[in-house]
Amino acid sequence: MPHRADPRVQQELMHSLYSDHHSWLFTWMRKRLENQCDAADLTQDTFVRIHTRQESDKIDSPRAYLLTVAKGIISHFYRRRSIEQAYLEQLALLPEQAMPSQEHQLIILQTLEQIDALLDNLPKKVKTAFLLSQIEGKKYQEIADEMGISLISVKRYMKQAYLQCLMLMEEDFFAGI
Amino acid sequence: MPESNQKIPLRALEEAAEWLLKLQDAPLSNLEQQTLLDWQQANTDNQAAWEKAQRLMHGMAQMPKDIAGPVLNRADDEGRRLAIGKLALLLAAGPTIWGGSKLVESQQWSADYRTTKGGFSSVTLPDGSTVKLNTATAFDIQFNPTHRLLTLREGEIEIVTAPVNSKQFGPFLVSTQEGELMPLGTRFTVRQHQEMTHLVVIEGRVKATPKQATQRQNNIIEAGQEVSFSRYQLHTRKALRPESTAWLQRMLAVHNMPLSTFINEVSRYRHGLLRVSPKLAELPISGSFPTTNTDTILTMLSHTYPLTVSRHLGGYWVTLEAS
Repeated sequence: MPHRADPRVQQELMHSLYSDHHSWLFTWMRKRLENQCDAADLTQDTFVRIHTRQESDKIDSPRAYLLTVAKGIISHFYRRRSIEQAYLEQLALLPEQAMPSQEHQLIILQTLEQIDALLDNLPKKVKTAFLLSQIEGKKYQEIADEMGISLISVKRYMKQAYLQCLMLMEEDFFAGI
Repeated sequence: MPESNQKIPLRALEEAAEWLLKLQDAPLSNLEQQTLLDWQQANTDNQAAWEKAQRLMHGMAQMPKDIAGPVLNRADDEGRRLAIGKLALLLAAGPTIWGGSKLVESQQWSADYRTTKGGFSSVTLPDGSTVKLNTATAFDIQFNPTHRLLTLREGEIEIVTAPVNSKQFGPFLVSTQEGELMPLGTRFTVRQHQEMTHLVVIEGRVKATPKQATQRQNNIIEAGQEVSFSRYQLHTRKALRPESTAWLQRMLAVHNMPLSTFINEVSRYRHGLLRVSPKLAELPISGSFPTTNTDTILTMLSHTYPLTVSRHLGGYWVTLEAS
């Protein structure tokens, strides 16, 4: 369970964390992002993330902690942007009749981001096998033939991918679908 | 947030991954289903792990194939992404580029269209014909100067052929596992059953040719008729029933259909397993049901008929029993 201290104490700690560290973190962000707006947003996101975790009373070394969270937020930002770009490219190529509704597009995009994060850092072969199965709907034997590997390997890859997904999935992943 | 940060032990997650692996490959036998159920109910860790596994499967099933593939593969396979992109561009460009381009005329090409379970979509082909796809449906198209070929891999489609000069495009052909259909200016639906094709002609006429026809038959099916055919022969044609085209309105309409058959129909639109107690198999079902929400169908059944719906594995495995 997340640590939950007295909300008032949390709030005060959060306040001092913000006033002591916001300025340098914003400068740090600006060096890593192309524009000032993104830097401001992501600095804000970093504090929001820490606030949501309700752990501000447990931070020994705020600077290191903030940097760790901020790095995660930046990498999430870039992932999101690259997915959005690839997604919009694909969408633009669809015939108009096949275009999903705005609302559906947003759901697809969010789900894509979540899946992409789950598959992050999997070896290329494992990821390929997994996508052939999940997205293309191919049977294990077909995947083995297509990739030129044994059926046993396909199954091993699939299990590895499933396990990584299950381990990384947050409680709200795909909830409500 | 419910049960947030609940730590599920690695052991339970590994076992859940094993089950996913098994489920994905082939339908479970009755014994395996029971084993899965026992495993899931053995303790709360297993339950939580399985709940996660189900969410994963549902999330994956949500992904439209043509978009998710290129997007998720984007970084490590640029070449493939470009190739798919070009193909889609040709599709999007439609008849204009198609009619004029020598480059396109000189080569064959094909594309996949697919819906997942519960899905429904509509596409326009390069010649202007439109195709509606019912749940769990896949077809390829191959357009070249001599013909326009649509190969139905699985599921159910409605085709409205465009009134085009067939000299420009060549004849339109639909191929199924059992044979070939040639529409003669028309609107019709085709469903691929197991070892059987079902054709419903709404407007115009369609010539249906089983792959290994053993006898000469009149094989022109007229508007207002429907017919099933195997690889060997056409069966007796019948007058078009309104139920046959209800899926176009995203409804499942039935008249005195045995419950076991009805549940097979519902399964086309639903993930997971639906089981009917043998006692209820012959129960005649009538009515119209929304295919957009199979849970609603199950609820409607339990309100109208003397049966109880029990959900296990968080709705993944549903049984219908006499109440």
